[in-house]
Amino acid sequence: MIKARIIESGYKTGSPVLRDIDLFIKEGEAVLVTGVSGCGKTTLLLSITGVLKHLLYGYIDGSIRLADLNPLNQQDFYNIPRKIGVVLQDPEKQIAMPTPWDETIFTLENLGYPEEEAVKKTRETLRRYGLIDKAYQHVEDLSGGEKRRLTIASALIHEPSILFLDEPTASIDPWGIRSIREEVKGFRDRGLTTIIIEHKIKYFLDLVDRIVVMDHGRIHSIYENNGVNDTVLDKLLGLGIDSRKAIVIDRERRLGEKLLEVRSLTIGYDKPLVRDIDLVLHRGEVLAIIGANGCGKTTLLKTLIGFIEPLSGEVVCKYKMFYVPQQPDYLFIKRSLEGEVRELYRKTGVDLEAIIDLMPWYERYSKLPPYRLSHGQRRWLSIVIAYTYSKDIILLDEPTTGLDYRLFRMLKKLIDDLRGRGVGFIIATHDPRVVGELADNVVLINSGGAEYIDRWRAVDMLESIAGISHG
Amino acid sequence: MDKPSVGIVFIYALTITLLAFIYRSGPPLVIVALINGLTGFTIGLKKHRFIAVLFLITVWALIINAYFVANTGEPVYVFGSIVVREGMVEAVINISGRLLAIAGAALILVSLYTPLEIIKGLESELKLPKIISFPLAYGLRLLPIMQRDYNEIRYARKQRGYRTIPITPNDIASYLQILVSLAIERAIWTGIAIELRGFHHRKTRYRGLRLKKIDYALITILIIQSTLFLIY
Repeated sequence: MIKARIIESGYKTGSPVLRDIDLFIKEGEAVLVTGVSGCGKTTLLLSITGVLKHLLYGYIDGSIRLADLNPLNQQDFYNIPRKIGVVLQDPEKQIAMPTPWDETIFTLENLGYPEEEAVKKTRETLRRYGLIDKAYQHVEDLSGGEKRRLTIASALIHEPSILFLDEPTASIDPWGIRSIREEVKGFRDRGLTTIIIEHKIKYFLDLVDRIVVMDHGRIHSIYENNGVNDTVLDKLLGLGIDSRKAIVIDRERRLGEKLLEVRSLTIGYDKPLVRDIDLVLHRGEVLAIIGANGCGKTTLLKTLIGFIEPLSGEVVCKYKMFYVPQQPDYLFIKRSLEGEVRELYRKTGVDLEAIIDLMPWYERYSKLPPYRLSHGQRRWLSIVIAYTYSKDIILLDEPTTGLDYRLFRMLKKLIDDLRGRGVGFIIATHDPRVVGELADNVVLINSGGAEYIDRWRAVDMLESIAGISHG
Repeated sequence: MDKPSVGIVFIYALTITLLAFIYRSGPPLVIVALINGLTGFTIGLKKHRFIAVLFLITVWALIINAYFVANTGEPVYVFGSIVVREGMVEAVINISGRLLAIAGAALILVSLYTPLEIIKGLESELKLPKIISFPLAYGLRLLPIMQRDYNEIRYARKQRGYRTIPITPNDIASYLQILVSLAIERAIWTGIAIELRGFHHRKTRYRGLRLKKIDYALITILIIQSTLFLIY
C-alpha cells in the first residue's frame, strides 16, 4: 500500500516541483504514472521513497506511508529497501558492480542474507532472467535489454512487495520492451504492487489498473483502466504523451541529388557484423536504419563517417558528413550555450544570427552550461552544431531516446526544417515515431544483413514486436 | 603465480603515495618513481591505457606550468627563444616523479584485481568502512565507461576540427568538463540506486589478513623503499 499526501516537495526550499499530490495505491495494484518530461514523475518517485529528503537534501511537506513505513522518518527510510525494489531509468547509472553475479548478489549482501542462501537465490534469479550464462561476464558486454533485465533481477531478488519502474522502455528496443511487458504481467500474477513511471504509455495500458496523469507537478487526472477510450487517448496524445500507435505520414517528397552511395559494404570490428549493405541517400531525404540493439546501426554510422574502417565494399560520397552521437554532451566544447554558439561562428564562419535563429529558446538559456540544458534542448543543440558544420549529410544516432511525444514533435520540426534546406539525414533508431513521421525510406538490419523495407511494414513490425496494447 | 592479498597491495599503494610526498626530491624519489612506475605501467598499461594518457596529459600540463612559474636559475637548454632553466627541470622531475610513483602504485592495485575483489578484500582483510571501500571500487567500475566517453569525445572533437590529443589547458578543460559532468551524474544515480538496495545495512564480514610468501616479499620491497632516506 502507498499513501502519499504531498502539499509541496522540491529540491530547494521555495522552488516546489510537486504540489497538491494525493495518491493512494492499493496492495497488489498496478499503476501507471505518466506525463511529459519535466512534469514531476521522477520527483514523485524520489519523494515517495524518501530519497528526495534523505539523499538529495530536498524537502517534502506532507505525509507518506509506504507499506508500514514512513519514508520521511530517517530510521524507516533505511528499512525501505527491504520492502521495495526500484528500477531506475538508465541501467548504465544503476549498475554498480562489474558482473551480473556481483550486481545481483549485492542486494542480498547489503540486506544481510547468509552467504549460502544469497548464493542460491542469486543463481536462481539469474537463471529466471536468462542471465546465468553471462553471470561472470563484464556488464559492459551485455546488450541494452540484458542490462535492463539485470536491473530488474537485482531489484526483485529479495522479493519485495512493491516495485517501482522508472521509464523502463527508455533506450530499449522493441524486443526489450516486449520482455519488460512480460515481466510486468508476471508482477501482476505474483500480486506485486507495481508503479510504472512512463511516457510511452501505449506499451502498458492493458497491464495496469489505473493511470495517473501528471502535469506541471500536479496530478492532472486519474483514469481507471476500463475508462480509457479513444477520446482519453487522444487527449493524452494532445498533452504530449505517447498514448497511440505510431502513425505513418504519407509523403510525396521530391528528393534532390544523390549525396551518398554505399556499395556492398561489410562492417564490423574484428569480424563482420553486417554484410553487403547497399544504400543511397539523397538531398532532403531522411533514411532510417532500424534493428535491434547491438545489430550494428551505430557501427554503420561510424563506418560511413570514417571512424571505423570498412571490412570491404565502398562508401561513395563527396560531401561533408557530421555524426551526432547518442549522448549529445560529447559534442559540447564550451562552458555556456553562448560560448558554444560563438565558438561555432568562429570555427565555421556561419552567421551568428543564423545559428541563434535555429534555437527559439536561445535567449532564455544562453548563459547556462550546455550540460544543464534539458534533455531535449541538448539534442536540439547537437543537431544545430551538426548543421553548422555540414549542410549536406547529418548522421543521427538514436536521437529520440528519452523524448516524449511533445519533444519528439519539436525535434521533428527542426529536422524537417533542415531537410527543407537540403540536408540528408541517416538516423539509426528503433523508434517507430521516427520511421512513421520522419523517414522517407527505411533500411532494416537483421541477421547480419541489411535490406530496404516499406515504412508501413517497419512501423507495424516495431510496434507488434514491442506488443503495443492500445491505439 | 599466487596474487598478493588485496589488503597488502592496498597498504603498499597507500604507503608509496605517502612516500611520493615525503621524498620531495633527490635519488629516493627517483628510485621509488622508477620502481613503481615501471612495474605499474608494465602490468597495467594494456588494461588501463587511459591512466597512461591521463599521466601524459598531466605531465605536459606540468611542463607548460613549470615554464611559466618555475623557470629560474642557470640556463640548461636553449631552443631559439625558449630558455629552459634549472628550476623548471627540477620542478618537472620532482613532480613527475611523484605522479609516476602514485600512478604506478595505483596501476599495480587496479591491474591485479577486479573492482569486486578490491571491495571485498578491503572489507574483509582491513575492515575498511564501506563508505571508503565502495566508492574506491565504484571508481574502478567507472574507468571503462570513462574510457568509452573519452573515445567518443575524441571523435566529436575530430569532427569539430579540434585536436584529439589534449595539449593546452583549454583542451584539457574541454575534455574534463564533459568527463566530470557525466561522471557526477552517474555517481549521483548510482548512489541513489545502491541506497535503495540497502547499502546502509551492509555489514563488513571481517576475516583478517592471512599473509602468504608473496605478501612478505611485497612488504620487504616496501620496507626497502621506505628506508631509502637512510642511504641518501
